[in-house]
Amino acid sequence: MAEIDQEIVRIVASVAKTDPGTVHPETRLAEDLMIKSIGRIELAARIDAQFGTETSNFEIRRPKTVQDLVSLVAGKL
Amino acid sequence: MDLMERARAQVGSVSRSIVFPEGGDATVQDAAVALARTGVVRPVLLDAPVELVARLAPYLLDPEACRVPDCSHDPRVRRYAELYAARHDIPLNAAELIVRRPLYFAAMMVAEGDAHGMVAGIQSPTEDVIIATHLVLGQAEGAAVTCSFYLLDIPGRDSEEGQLLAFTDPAMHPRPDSSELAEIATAVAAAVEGMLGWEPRVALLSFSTRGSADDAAVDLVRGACDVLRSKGATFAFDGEMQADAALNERVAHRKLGDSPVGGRANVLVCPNLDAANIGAKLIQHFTCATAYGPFLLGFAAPVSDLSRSAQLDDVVGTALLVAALHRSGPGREGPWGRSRVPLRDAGNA
Repeated sequence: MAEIDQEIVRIVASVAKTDPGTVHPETRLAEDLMIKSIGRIELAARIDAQFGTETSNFEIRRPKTVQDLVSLVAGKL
Repeated sequence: MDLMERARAQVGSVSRSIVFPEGGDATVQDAAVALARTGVVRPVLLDAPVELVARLAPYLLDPEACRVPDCSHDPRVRRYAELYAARHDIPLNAAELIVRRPLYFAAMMVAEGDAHGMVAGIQSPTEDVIIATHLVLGQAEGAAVTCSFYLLDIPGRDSEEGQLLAFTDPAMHPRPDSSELAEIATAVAAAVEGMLGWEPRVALLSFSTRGSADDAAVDLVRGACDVLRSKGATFAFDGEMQADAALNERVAHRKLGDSPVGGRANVLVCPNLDAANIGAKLIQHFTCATAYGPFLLGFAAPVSDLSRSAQLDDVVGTALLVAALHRSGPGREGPWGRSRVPLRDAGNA
């Protein structure tokens, strides 16, 4: 897995308070990990802090899966 | 007693500071000048232009203090970030990014006692205001539910409360169950009593009146009334009833018969967010009503959202009412419930 993917999995797992080993590209942020509106604030902040990106509230709500999130971040780098 | 007089009576001789995170908005700036003139509210605007200082100068001794020029680089960011990071167990650098955002910086000001309340939303979706309030201020101790309500000032309305009518919940609960609906009714009843000195008369609305229709949606509202009865609610309430039975005495007499609320309701509890939000905006549109709020209840400090269509009077009146609701010190009971221990004391709790 590419480094960016690994880092995003680590962040997602931390926000969801779950084992990174259970987080896969197809894992759904809301349905599987219970990361809903409130959790997305922390998710965006941690991603931005890690990658130096700027992710708006609107943008962070759109990804459905971990892979969607990776694509969002990759598009900003 | 009009809203200004009520706010002045509640606040007393010491003005309350209300922070506006959207200080770049022209309506908020105009509201700040109007509020400064009242002597009841001391506005604090984030990211407002320097020209605002001159506009405030005729009314305030230190108008510069009403402006936070660039909250993202304010000296308080570090302290706020440390508190936020500790509370939420997140990395400090991520917490800094969060508290640099005006909504979060403003909420942290309230949490830390640097402001008494917050009024936000003229440029932000309601959900963003609610999330920031939830993450920073949190639910008040003892608050059974968080919810919201509008106070509508409706031209032509002639009631015991003049033109005013409380309307809930237009912002927070898409589909409350019976128990939640009962808690919302209770919270708003307490709010209008504490905020305005009203005797609450709460109507739980439906498309049915006393069994005129049969549907699960009607059962939900009836269930809320059952919950209120079983809990021994001390305020006047009735339901399920249609809106005309709630507001028109002739209709109430025909449809309800004897009712402590029929025809005289001053709090309308809608069964879901769709009905409340649509209903409130229809009232505003067709009557040119002024809409104060929606006030967010059940959080640890006074916060109000604003509609993105809010006009000057909406903003000014909302801020006055938020100021009137501030209760200083932890443990004081108010419409918002007891104050939570401030973040700065969290480490000592």
